[in-house]
Amino acid sequence: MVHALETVHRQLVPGGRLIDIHPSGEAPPLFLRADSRQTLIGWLGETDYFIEYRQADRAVAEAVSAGLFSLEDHQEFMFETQAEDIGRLVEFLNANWSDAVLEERLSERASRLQHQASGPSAIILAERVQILKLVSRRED
Amino acid sequence: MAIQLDPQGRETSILFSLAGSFEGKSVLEIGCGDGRLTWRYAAGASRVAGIDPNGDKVARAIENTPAALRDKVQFVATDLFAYARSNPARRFDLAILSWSL
Repeated sequence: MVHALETVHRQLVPGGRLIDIHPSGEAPPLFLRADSRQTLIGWLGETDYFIEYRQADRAVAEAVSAGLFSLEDHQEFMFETQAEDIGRLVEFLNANWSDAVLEERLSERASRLQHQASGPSAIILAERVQILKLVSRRED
Repeated sequence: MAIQLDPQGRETSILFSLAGSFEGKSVLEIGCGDGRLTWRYAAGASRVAGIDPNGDKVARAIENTPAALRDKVQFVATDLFAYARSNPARRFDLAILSWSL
């Protein structure tokens, strides 16, 4: 990952900016949003326990320590994936997030809760995401 | 609604608050996927190179490129290292690692 940041650094003009967007290394919660409230269903897992995001944090820290970039700003936000139902979310995860793990009991709970909702409802996956602004510091 | 990604637009809002104006900037987006984020900022940029190793997603991005952006946005199905080897002299004002580090 540090090698990737070195490569990005070489593709930037001197003083160029890098925006890095990546999820935090924590399991994102799943909710049912219905009847003007949210009900926690459980947490999505990953086969590698989100280790790649913690590795990304370390790579950024190393690139800053090595003098390639300086960190100018750091913010967090919640990125929501809204699905019509749990089946749609599973389809989406299968196509876009190959190491995601959604336990069967959570799918069943989501279906049951959604079935009990009286009005419009949606399944929400809420990921905490970091966004960093880095400035290229020196020429190679 | 089948699937909606970031319906509140939080990612775009924070991207603009951190990156500032894209006006006149050359942008390298690494992990552009199907262009979901690219479309949000590309209109102001001078040129955009969007790269992603997933050929299916890049094909969708190319197919869905609005006519007004076709002259300035280039999508390539490749990874960062291969792109850098093929374009060693190309420099950008801004790079975006879009969920891809």
